[in-house]
Amino acid sequence: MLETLDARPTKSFFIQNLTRDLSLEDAILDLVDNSIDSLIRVRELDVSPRLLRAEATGAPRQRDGLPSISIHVSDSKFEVIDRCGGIDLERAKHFVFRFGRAEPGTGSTLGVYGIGLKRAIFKIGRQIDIESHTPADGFRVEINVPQWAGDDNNWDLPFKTLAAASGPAEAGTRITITDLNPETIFRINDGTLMAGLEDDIATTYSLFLARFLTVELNGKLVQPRPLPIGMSEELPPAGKTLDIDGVVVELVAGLAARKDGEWNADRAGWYVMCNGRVVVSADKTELTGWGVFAPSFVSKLRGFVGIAFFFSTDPAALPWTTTKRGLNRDSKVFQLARKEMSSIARPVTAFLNRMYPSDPSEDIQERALADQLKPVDMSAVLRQARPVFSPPEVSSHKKRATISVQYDADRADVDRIKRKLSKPRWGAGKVGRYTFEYYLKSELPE
Amino acid sequence: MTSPTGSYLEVSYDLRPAKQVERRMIIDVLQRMTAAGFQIRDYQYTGLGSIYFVDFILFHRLLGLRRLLSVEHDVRIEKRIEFNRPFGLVETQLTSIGDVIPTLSTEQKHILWLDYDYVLDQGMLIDTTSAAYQLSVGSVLLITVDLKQPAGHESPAACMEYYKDEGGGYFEAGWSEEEFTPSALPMTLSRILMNALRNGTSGRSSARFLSLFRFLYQDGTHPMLTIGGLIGADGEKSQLDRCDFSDIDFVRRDETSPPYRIVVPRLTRKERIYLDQFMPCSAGWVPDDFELSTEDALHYRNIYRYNPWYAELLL
Repeated sequence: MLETLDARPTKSFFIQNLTRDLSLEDAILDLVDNSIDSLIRVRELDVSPRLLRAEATGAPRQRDGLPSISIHVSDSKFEVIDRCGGIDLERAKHFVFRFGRAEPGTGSTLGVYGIGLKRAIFKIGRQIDIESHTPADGFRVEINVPQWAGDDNNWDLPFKTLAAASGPAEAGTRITITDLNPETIFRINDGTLMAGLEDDIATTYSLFLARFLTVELNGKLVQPRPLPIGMSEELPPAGKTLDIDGVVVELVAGLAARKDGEWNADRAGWYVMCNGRVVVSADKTELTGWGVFAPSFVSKLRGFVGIAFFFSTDPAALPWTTTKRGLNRDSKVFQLARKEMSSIARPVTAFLNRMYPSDPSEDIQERALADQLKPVDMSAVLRQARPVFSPPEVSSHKKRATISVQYDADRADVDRIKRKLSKPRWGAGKVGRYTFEYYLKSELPE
Repeated sequence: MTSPTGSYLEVSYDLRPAKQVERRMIIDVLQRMTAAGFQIRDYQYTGLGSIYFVDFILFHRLLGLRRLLSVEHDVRIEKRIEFNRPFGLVETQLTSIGDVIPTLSTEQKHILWLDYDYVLDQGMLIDTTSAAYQLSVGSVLLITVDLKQPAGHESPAACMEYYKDEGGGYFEAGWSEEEFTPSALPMTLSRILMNALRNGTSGRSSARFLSLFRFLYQDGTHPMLTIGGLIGADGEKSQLDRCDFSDIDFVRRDETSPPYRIVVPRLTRKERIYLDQFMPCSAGWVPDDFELSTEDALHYRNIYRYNPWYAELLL
């Protein structure tokens, strides 16, 4: 008869591995995702391509009536309080606290793997207190992590039932974490966390903020940071919709709005969003096809902005990773979308290449066109998008056949050439031109 | 990236016998495909016509193609391009071929010839992948590259470094200098291109690159490689199976078989007229009336049907 070996994980191994690759920022965004998911369920937010066209249902009319998420961060306490509808007791019992059990048929949510909430709280601290109320019921769970982790055989979490919320507007969840992990305290005190976090929230949820909910960070309202896409009458972006194995993919490629005649290179590149949440921003790498299906990203392409929206009622079908900060390169949906992305981007990069020939002295018609680009919201972008980015025809005689060549040369070498040529009064530029022409004539005679 | 033009100044495009034989062989295959039901006449031909448009003239005259697009990158010869346009229905675009590929209609079947006259680089591989992805099922894709060792990278080791940089993800693990000797280079570059083609077609519902051509020939002092095939699914594959290629040996349906080498022996006009009377000859045959090696006799047998006649006209 066979005997058995004990291969069960210890809880501390489990917790360590879950939280190891997660940054504190990602953990906090996981908690925001969790609150937004409550809202998606309770308000039946239509997270689909309609979200982009401002026709989404469930949108509260009044700004001051928007559901809120408040995040309080200090080096002794971390707290997220939302008024997003709460977690009902049945879901809490069967799904919310169960590791790796994503709810079946849950809709177009931001939660995917049944892991975000648990992982986030373990990342942040050791004393966890969660309280939630829906209009139907309420509960409270308190977890002392070291104590709970001490017993590998018992995975249960005791909870208390509480009174229901007095109305839908009051329904919500509070997560309070104390006895913060040393790493968390260190990050909170290093002075860079809050500014970065505000930026992350402003970008990641730009489609949700101010329309469906508000987020406050230590009492400060986070303003959405819209995607930098711009438009003018003559330069509407290109747009394309695909259906890849049931995942709806909306692609937009065009030019960013200009500020003081300049583009911000930091914001250029591809933005990838899954169910409305930004997963990758301003990507200029091979991840989004640069250097593989399109030429490598170079600084003259800094006006390019592309957005790939992926929507699915089955969040696991979307190409995001568990941290939601990266893309699953093996995903067939993404592999296919990436080629379409490069394809739709090409006419935009061609425009930018024409706009920046190497000789900047030329009066380039593309620049005048680019100066008219204005920031626009997504619904306007999608209304005006054309299948192919097609800038107005620029007469070709304006195109330059020349390119300016500049380089540093050793003074002594330039002087030696002048002496050899008996042209002591020639400037360095003239020497440069002469030597260039000499090469052309002797090595590449026509 | 090297300028895609320039060789039009070095080689007289209309006087390149091996290139012309290659074009004629490709057209022969396209004619056989027409007989097997491919509507080649309705295809659009997109190529890099330079100022000679030789391929455009053949495709229009011999295959009846009416949609013809020539792409030229060199803005300095805009007027020459326009001036030399052989037929009214040849359209020209002054831009890079890479910018044109994503705009090729998916409603239309294409013959796209990426007829580069310089050594393989990253930009070509991007064009190749995007063409393999973009072209509609049933389209024909041809890619030609210069096989000469890149300037400054003449040794196999340096040559390997060059292709490792340019080939990126298409450079295979385990390759050594042996793959980059002049004799091994054709198969190695063909592998790099096939990897790029596979990356381009991966994820397409069922379309893949069905190999048809792998030519090696000499253009002036430059050895050249052409790879060609059909973007097709099972339907196109069985349609290709129905094509009669039994009497020609230059078709390469199997992508691992070595390239077909086009060799055009140097012969006088009088010698050619003489040899033609005995064509096709059997292996080992040599003419009685002048010296010609058995190899050259065989080379001539392989190409005589496709070999152009050049003559000086005094007008």
